Amino acid sequence: MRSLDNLKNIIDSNFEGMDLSDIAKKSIKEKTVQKRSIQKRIIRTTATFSSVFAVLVACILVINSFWGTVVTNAQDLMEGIKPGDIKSLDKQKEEALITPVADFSVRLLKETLVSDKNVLISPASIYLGLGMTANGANGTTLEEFENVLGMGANISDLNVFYKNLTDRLTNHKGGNVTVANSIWYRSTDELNVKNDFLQKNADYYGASAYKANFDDPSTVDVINNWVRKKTNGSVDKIINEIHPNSQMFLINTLYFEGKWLKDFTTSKREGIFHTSNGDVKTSFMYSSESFYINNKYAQGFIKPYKGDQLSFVGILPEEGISAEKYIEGLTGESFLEFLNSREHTSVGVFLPKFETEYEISLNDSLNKLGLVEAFHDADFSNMADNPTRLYIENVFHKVYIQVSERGTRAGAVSKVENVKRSSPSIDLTFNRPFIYAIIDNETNLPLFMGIIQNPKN
Amino acid sequence: MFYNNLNEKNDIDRLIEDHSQHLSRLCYILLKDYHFAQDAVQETIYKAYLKYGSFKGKSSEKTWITSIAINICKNYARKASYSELSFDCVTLEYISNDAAEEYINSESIDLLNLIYNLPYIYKQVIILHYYEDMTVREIAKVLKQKENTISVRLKRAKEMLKLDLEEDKL
Repeated sequence: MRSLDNLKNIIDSNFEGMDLSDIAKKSIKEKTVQKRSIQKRIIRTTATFSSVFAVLVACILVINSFWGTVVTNAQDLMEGIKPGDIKSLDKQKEEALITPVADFSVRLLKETLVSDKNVLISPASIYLGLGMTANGANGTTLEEFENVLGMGANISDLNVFYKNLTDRLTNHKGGNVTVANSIWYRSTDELNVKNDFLQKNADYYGASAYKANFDDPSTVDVINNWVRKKTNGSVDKIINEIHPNSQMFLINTLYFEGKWLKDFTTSKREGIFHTSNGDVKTSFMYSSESFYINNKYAQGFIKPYKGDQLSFVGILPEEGISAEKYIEGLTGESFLEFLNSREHTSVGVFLPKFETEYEISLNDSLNKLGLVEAFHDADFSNMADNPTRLYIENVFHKVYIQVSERGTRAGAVSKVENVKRSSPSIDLTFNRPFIYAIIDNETNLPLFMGIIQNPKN
Repeated sequence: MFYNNLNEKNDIDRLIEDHSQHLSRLCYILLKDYHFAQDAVQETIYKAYLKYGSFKGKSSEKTWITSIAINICKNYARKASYSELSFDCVTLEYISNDAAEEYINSESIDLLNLIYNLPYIYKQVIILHYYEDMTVREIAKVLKQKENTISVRLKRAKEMLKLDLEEDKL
C-alpha cells in the first residue's frame, strides 16, 4: 500500500541535485544590485528574467584608429544596398574547404585552453566575424586572414562557403539558430567606408552597418539594444563604454536554441565526477543513443537535435589521456575522421548536466595562429578610404551554453522512452574531463567546441 | 526570523540559500518543465525580495514564499508558450541498477509519476500538504478557496493515487 507520508523524503532524495542554476542565482543577485542602486528613483519594478537557452555567443571585433572628429549622428550605411546575386562554389571546391575550416576551429580551441578550466568557444562565430573583416583587408593583412581562416583559400571562396553554412543553419527547422552581424563605425569626416566592402557584407554576411556618434553615451545603449534584439533578449549588455580611440565594432552574435530529437531522461541521479583536483558530486542525465564513435584515443556519442541539421558530440578520452592532452593531438582532419567513423550502435550515455559561460579576448590566440598584422600595422584599404591607421584593437568572444535534459526551455516535450540501463551494448559514463561540440551534420564542422574539466564550476 | 526589509546583499543570498532547492522541486513538479520551473523560481525569489516589506510574519517565511511561487506557477501554466507544450507522455524513470536506496527505488518513482501526472489542482494540494507541510487552512488561504474545498480535493487526489485513505490522515 502506498503512503504519502514519505513523500517529502522521496522528492528530496530523487531530486537531490535539483536547484536553481548558478547562472540563475547570479542573475537574481545582479537584479537586486541594480535595484538597490536605483531604489530612490521611481521605476517600474516588473521583473524580467533572462531566458534559459542552449547556446549563445557574441564575438566583437573592436577596431581602433587615431582619428576622432565626430560630425554626424547614427546613420544606416546599408540603406539602399541590397544583397546581389552571388556565385556558387562547385562541390569539389566546397568540400576542399571543410578541412581547413575544421582545422582553424581545432587550432583555435588549442590556443584558448586554460589548464583545469572549462573552456568554450564558437569557432563559427569567430570565423564569420573575421571573414567579414577580411573583406576590408588588403596586401599582407589579407594574406594572413586567408592563411589563418582557410589555409590560404581565397577570401571570395570563403565568403561563399560561410554564406552557405549560415543559410543552412538559419534554415534549420528543429530549433532556433540566429546569426546576426553588424558593423558600427565612429562618425568622422575622415572615415569613408567603401561601397564595395558594404556590398560584400550585404551579399555574404547579411550585415547591418551604422555610423554612430561614439562620443554620445547613448550610442552604447543603441549597440546593446541591437544585440539584445538579435539574441532574443538574452544578452542585456555587450559593451559598457566606448574607448575614445575605438573606430569600429564588428559584432557577431550566434544564438542557438536546440531541442533534442530524443530527450535525456528527467530522472537525474547524483554521481561522482573525477576532476584533476579531486572528486565532485554532480547530477547525471541518462539517454540511450544510436551513434557511437571510438578510436584508440577516445570514445564518444553523437546526439542529434530535432531537424537533423545539428548534433551534440561528446568525446571521452580513454583513461590515462587527459582532455587537454587529447586536444593537443587533435587536428581538423582527425576530428572530422573521428566523427565520420560513427557506428550505428546502441550506447547508454550518462552525461553530467552542465552550463558554462566563457569569455575571452582572442588577440593572443589569433596572433599565435598567424593573424598578426591586423592588430597593429594593418592594411584595411579595402574597407575605407584613408585607412592606414585602422587596426583591430580587440577580438572579444563571449559564449554561454547550457546542456540539459530537454535542450531548451521552449522545446515541446517529447516522450521519454522507456530505456533500461542494461539494454545498450555499450555504456559511456562521462565522469571525468571530456570534450564536446555542436556540429553541422552535413559537414561535421563544429559550431561550438568546449572542454568540461568540472561540471560544477 | 522576521525582516522588514531586505536591503543588504546577504539577504538575497539568504533567500536563495533557504528556498531555491525546495522551490525548484515544487515548481518542477507543478510545471513539469525544467526551464519554466527555473524561470518561475527566479521570479519567485526576486518578487519575495521586492515585497519583503509586506511580509508580516503571520505565517512562516517558507509558507509565504511558497504562496508566491504557487501564484507564479499558475500564471506560467496559463501562458500560451506553456500550453503549447505537450506533457502527456512525460514520465520519470528509475535508471539505476544499484542496490535500491530507501527512497530511490522503482516504487518511489511510480508514486512520483502518479503525482507528476495528476491534474494540476490535485497535484497542487498534494504537494503543498505533503511536501511543503502546509495545513489545509494554509492551503485554503494561499489558493483562496474554502477549507472544505481543499479537503475534498485532497481526498479526491488520494483516490486518484489509489492510496489507503485509512492510513493517511489529513
